[in-house]
Amino acid sequence: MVLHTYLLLAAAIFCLGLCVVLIKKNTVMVLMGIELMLNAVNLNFIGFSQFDQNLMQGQFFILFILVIAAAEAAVGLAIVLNLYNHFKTADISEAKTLQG
Amino acid sequence: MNLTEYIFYFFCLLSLAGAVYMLFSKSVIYSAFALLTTLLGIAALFVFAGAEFLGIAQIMIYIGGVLVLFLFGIMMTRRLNSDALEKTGNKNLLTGIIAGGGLFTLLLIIILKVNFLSLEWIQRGSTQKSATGVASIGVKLMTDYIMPFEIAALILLLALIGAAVIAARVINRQS
Repeated sequence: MVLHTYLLLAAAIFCLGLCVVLIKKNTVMVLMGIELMLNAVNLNFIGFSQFDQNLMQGQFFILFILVIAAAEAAVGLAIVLNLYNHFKTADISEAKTLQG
Repeated sequence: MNLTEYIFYFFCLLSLAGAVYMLFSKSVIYSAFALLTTLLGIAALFVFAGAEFLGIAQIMIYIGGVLVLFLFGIMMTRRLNSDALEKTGNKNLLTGIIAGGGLFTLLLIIILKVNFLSLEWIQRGSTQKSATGVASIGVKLMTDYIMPFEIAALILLLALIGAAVIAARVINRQS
């Protein structure tokens, strides 16, 4: 069943991306995990969009998610550069001066 | 199973293997290349679902743009006295595994229990197959989706300016 393959693969990749975001210490790795999660969501959209060949709503959602992901990656990496410049490390658990 | 299905499952396994390797790898650069295989596999799955334009856009935007940006990010945040390959440690190991595994179990139960194929619009859609392609995407983008299209263009411009301003502050301070 093709739809179930898409949905199960998307669920697996989303959870792996969540694990990467929660577990990894390097800030760039955290951003890559977020990209993985966005891609899993795209897989869900395309899985359902196969049955909607005339309106193609799923495909347009993916198109706009791609745009947002590119913008997010650019701004996120600029912030990571600032973080590295301030703390002299890309380790996310070292940046704890805002800790309450 | 015919050849097409073998290729389909090969790309499924490719993208899954890349994601698993990302989780277990210690090296940041190897993880970036594992992300590349995952994105490539997902682009192939887009093509299998009849969205050729999105497959090409995925390869151009993610592999050509975002991944190169990540490699630059890895390069610029290296410690000067570290090894050639940047290593990453783990934190919150138990919390991460519980959250990820728990969410996956929940999604697995939901996906296996719900019968999506009995939905009315899916049954209607699987009977009527019409020819779609890049041309109809272009027409719809300029008619039905013109407003989100313009907003997306504005967001890209703002993100470009914002990223340049934030990153340029670092470079100015360093010089």
